Amino acid sequence: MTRRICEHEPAVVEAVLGRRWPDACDQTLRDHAATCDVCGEVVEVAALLREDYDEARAAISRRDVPLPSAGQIWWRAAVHARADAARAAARPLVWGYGAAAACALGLLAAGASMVWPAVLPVFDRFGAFTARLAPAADMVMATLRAQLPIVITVVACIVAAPIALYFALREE
Amino acid sequence: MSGLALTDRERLLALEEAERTFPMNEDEFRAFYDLTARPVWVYINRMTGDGRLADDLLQEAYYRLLRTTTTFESDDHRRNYLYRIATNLVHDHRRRPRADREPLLDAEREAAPDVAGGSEGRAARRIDLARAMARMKPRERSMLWLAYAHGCSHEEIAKVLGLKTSSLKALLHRARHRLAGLLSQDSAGGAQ
Repeated sequence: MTRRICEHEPAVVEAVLGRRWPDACDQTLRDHAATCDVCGEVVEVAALLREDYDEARAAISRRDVPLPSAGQIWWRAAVHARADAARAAARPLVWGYGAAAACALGLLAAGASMVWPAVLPVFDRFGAFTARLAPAADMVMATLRAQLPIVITVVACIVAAPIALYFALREE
Repeated sequence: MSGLALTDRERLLALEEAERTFPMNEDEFRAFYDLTARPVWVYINRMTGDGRLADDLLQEAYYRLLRTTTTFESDDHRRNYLYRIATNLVHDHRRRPRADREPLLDAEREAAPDVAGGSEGRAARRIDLARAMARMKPRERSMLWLAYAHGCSHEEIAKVLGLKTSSLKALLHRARHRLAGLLSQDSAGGAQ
């Protein structure tokens, strides 16, 4: 079974990260790493990663776009926090509008149920009128049934368009 | 951090509020930022392979740090917390549908001029490393980078990655062994 841990590993890592490996570190540690599987692997991996880290740090100053300054980050965070707070403060208002809309719908439904008996005779007269148009209505229904996929597509578009518009035009 | 529509007065108020509500003042933040921004950017860059994305995530990481209610015992604690935020941001980004880009491309791009500059061996090693790291699991990549590029202790890495310290040694050993194997494969492939 492969050995997983070596007591010299921290010292080897420290030497590599401290850029003392191999020339400026203890000879016994080098001798050990030459014969220890764990430390040999640590040297190989740590030396490469450390070199890559140093190169990447150096590459930051060669970039076209420098890192933002601390002041810029602070300023943006402050403004963003304020905007977040404003949004959070507006959230109860949105709930309030929702509740008001629900109340309005409820009142509308109650009002409709109250006036329904008065409206019913009008519908009866309309029913008698439509009975005379029944053959034409049957023809229309038959046509619609024959073109069902198209009808479904058109209805879906009518339903989906406002939803799509909402998602496209909302701020975030 | 977009969609901010504040007046000049609100912006000034925002700065005053920031001094009151952020867990450190601006001077402390500047000192901390100057100490940590580059290493954190490099970490995010190496985990995502995208410099511009690293710019964005860096800003978001500091923003989240400034908005946290956590109390920090020391700068080390704060730094570890920042790395944890950065790691979570990278993982969140990876989970998004558009995060299917090849990771670690920047490392290869940076290495390319070295080839032209004459240090071919070093550049080739870094390209091998970038390719091998790209084949590692994200958590293994973070673990190896924090341990051997940043020199974080096992305890620090466990905190950053949300792991138990007791299991970290074995995980780190496995990740290191796998990376060493991939590197030897790559260098053997390159030599043929």
